Parts: sequence; C-alpha cells; structure tokens
Amino acid sequence: MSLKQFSPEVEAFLKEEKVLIVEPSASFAQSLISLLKEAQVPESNIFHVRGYEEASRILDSKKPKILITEYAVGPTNGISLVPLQMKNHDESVKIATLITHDSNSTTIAEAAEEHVDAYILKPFSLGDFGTRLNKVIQSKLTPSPFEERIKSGKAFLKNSDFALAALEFKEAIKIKEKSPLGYYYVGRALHLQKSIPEASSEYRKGLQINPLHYKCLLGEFDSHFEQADYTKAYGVAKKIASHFPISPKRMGNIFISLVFSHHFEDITSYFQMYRDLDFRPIELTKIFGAALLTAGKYNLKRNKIFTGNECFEMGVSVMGPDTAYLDIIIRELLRVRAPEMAKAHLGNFPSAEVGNKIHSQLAFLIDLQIIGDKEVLIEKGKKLVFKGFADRDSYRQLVHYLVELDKTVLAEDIATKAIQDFPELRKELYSVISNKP
Amino acid sequence: MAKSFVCFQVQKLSNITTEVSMIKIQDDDFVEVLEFDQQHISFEAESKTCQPGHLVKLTGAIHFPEGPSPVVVLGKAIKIIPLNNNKAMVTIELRSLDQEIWNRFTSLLNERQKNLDNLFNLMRDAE
Repeated sequence: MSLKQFSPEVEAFLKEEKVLIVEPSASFAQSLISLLKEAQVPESNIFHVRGYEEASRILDSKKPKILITEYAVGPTNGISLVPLQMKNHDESVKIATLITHDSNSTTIAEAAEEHVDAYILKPFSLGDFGTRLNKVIQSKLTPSPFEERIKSGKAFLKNSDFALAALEFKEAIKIKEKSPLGYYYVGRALHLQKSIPEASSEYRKGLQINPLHYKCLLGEFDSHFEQADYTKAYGVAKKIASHFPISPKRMGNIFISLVFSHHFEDITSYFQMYRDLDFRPIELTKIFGAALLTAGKYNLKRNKIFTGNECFEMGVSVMGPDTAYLDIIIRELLRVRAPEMAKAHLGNFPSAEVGNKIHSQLAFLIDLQIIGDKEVLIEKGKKLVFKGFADRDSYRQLVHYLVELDKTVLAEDIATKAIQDFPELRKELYSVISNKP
Repeated sequence: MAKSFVCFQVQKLSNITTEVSMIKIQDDDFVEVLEFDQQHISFEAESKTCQPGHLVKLTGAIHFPEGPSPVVVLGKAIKIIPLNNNKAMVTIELRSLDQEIWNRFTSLLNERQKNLDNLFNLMRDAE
C-alpha cells in the first residue's frame, strides 16, 4: 500500500536514528511502524507508547531525534512533548510531527509556536505521510545557505552570544534581502538583550517587507506588551487575530492588553475562542475570568448593565461555581441596583455552600433591594445577626431600617453587636441613631 | 460520533457470497477509516473470520460537512494485521464503489490538509 517515499539520504539518516511514536491507537501505530521499517529504521530504534507519561520517560532515557505524536495523549497534549524533545536536540535537528483529527485553529497555533515541524490530519494516506516526513527530514539535512545562517545564529542565541547571533542573522539578510525572517531574528537577539525599542524597529523592518509576517507581528506585540503599551499591543493583537489562529499561551497576554486598553467590545469573540480550546491552562482560565470581571465592571460604570451582566455570565461559565468570584459579581450588580440579575448569580452557588455565611449575606443584600416590606427585612436581618453572618452592609441597612421604623432600642442593640464585629462602624452607626428624625 | 467532520465510517463487513459478517461491530455502531489511498482503506476492528484474499462487501457512510452519504463497497481483504485485545487492522482493496463520492472524499481531505499546510507554513515560516 505504500510507495517508495524516502530519498537515499533520508534513509541513511533514519538508519541511525531513534523514533518515538506516541499514539493511543494500536492500528495507527502499526501502520507508522511498518512505514518506518520500510524506511530502514531498525525495529529496535522504534518506540511506541500510548500516553504522555510513558512518552516523557522515553524522551528522557532514549533521546529520540524523531517524535511522531497524536495530539490527544492523555490529560495534556502531544505538543507539550516537543519542548521535552528539544532538551536533547536543537530545533534545527529534531523532527516533530503531529498527527491528529483536530484542525482546531488554536491547536494549529500552538503547534506552530511550539516548533512542530509537520501537522498531519487524520485520516491520511500512509504514502502522503511518508512523503511529508521525507520532506521535513530532507530540509533539515540540506539547509540552504540562508537557512544555514539562521541555524547558526539560533545556536549562538541559545548560548546567549547575542552579538555573534546578530552577525549571523545580518549575513542571512544579505543572502535573502526580501525575507522578513532575518529581521525577525535580529530583533529577537536585541529583544533577548532587553533592547526592546531597537528590537521593535527590526520587527517593523520585517513587517515593511511583509505586513502580515507572523513572527514579526508576534515580536511587535511582545515588544509593546513588555513596555506596558497596551493600546499598541492590542492593535497588533487584533491584526494577528484577524489573520492567524491564536495559541492558548498567547491568548492570556492578548486578554491582558484588551483589558488595559479598554477594548471590552471585543471580549465576546475571544470568549468563543477560549471555549473552543481542547485544553484550557489554569493560568489562562484565571486571566480570562479576571478579564471578564473587569469588562463587566467597566460596563456597569457606564450604565451598560445588560452588557456588564453578560460579561459576568461569561465569567461564571469560565470560572465555574467559584464563590469568591460570585460574591464580587453579586455585590457589583447590587451597587447598580440590579437585584434580579444578582439573584440569578446567587443561584450559581454550589449546593454545599447554600446557606453558609457568604450565601446568607448575599441573599440578605439582594432581599434588601427586592422586598419592599421593611418589617420582613428586619426579621431576616435579625436572623442573620444572630447566626453571626452579618457583614458591614447588612448591619448598615438593618440599623437604618430600625431607626426609620422607630425601633431605636433594637437599633442600638444591633449597632452594639455590629461594633463588636466591625469596630470601624462605631461612628457611622451611632450617627444614624442619634440623628434620627 | 465522528471525530472530524469529514470521515468514512464502516458499519458492516461481510463475505460477498455468504453475506456472513466478517468483523465484529455492534448494531448502530461503526468504526472509522484510519488510513486510505486511492485504492485502499484501512480500519481497526475486532477480528472475526476475515482473512486476506476474501472478497468482501462493506457497508458504511462517508460524512461530509453537509451530511453523510451512504456507501457500499465491493472489495478484497488484502491485509489483516492482528493487534492486541482481539483487534486487527483490516486493509481492503477497493474494487467497486461510487467513484464520485470517493473522489469527493479524498479531494476534500487533501484540500483540508493543503489549507492547513499553507497556514502552518506561514506561521512556522519554514526556514
């Protein structure tokens, strides 16, 4: 079923190399193994494992130069094996191939940023797979003079020999003047020395040749971001996002620049992007949750209560039933007198926490805005106080109502209790009682 | 459920003359074609009585973005590689099938890969 896809040069290379296949399907693995054997890889040099843990052990012990991995390999993904492979082999010599059903744009971006050499969709023809593998290996074995310079510069970069690296990249530019890549790497060398404005200028030279050069755009974004110029950073981010998929790693910084540049109107499109991720890093979830909270508050301040609440709802779906998060949302909504929206969020509390201190406080604060009957509210408030659940806001409101209904003795009683819990309320509460009409 | 929106699902593989089932697939279930070329398809199934050289009838569906198209394939089992857990990788040589559907399937997969390659190379800036 397969054709002769491998050049003699590649076969000679493969004869000496170890290959790790990370593939949960025995059938797929079997096909790949037979192809590799045809390509002269000794059987003893082919390692097949099904999951991430075993794969990371083989990468460490056998140090294979060739990695062929499925994306879904357990709790994490196959792409995260590439950095482990690169601990033993430089990017210019290692071969990493991703095989997957997944054509999700964020997976593509992640693969591109994590130095995957070939991305092959399942189902595939084994012949086509072989041709692609041959092409990747061939290009690594016989780099062009331009690629040689870039490769050599990157080796200097790895050793922090920035000046030598820059020289190599400048030589690469002389060979291929119309390629933005040389400028990108000169910029990268400057960037790593923290000469950010100079690095940015090199990225811009690359972008003058090709305004949509992905790596130069990323360099430009990082430069602005690191200089805390979030408006410019977000401007570049928008350009990247409209032409390329975004990796989860990059998404976090884009959210941050979106928030600090106040482009909250775009947040829903990023929300969709986040939802489409197969793997959501915890850090990214926290950043996105915080971004949606800030977006919600921003809208409430501008009296866009419905939009603000939409951001909060998205935030809750990102963060899950996180009580501290819900607490902030509910109090923000009550501040703009949106008790029904607040009540809906109270319904998101985990059942185990319904009736606890925070839930009871929030329920009372919501009731204060929904229930008109002050006698009923006073009863509810008293229960809260006796349970020891009342917070500052609950005490304030309760004392106010008691004074309004001329229940001064009870108001003083509650104020005394409040001061025990929150001494800073003394002046405020006694002024309410002593200034009663 | 299909793993991707373009795929080939095998529902039944039977001996062409006796119509006896040759691989074990539960009713209402299917296995997905893992590998293909212009003349062959391969898939993983629980091995039953299928042997290389048997003439077979395969019933299944090719899923396109707009929906599935049923397919019936007449062919020959050319390779049965036993795997663990009573499973086997079955390769069928295609002798007769709706060529139009098949060509659409293969060209759609090739096009998807080509589009991905273009984007991926642009982002990697293959050096």
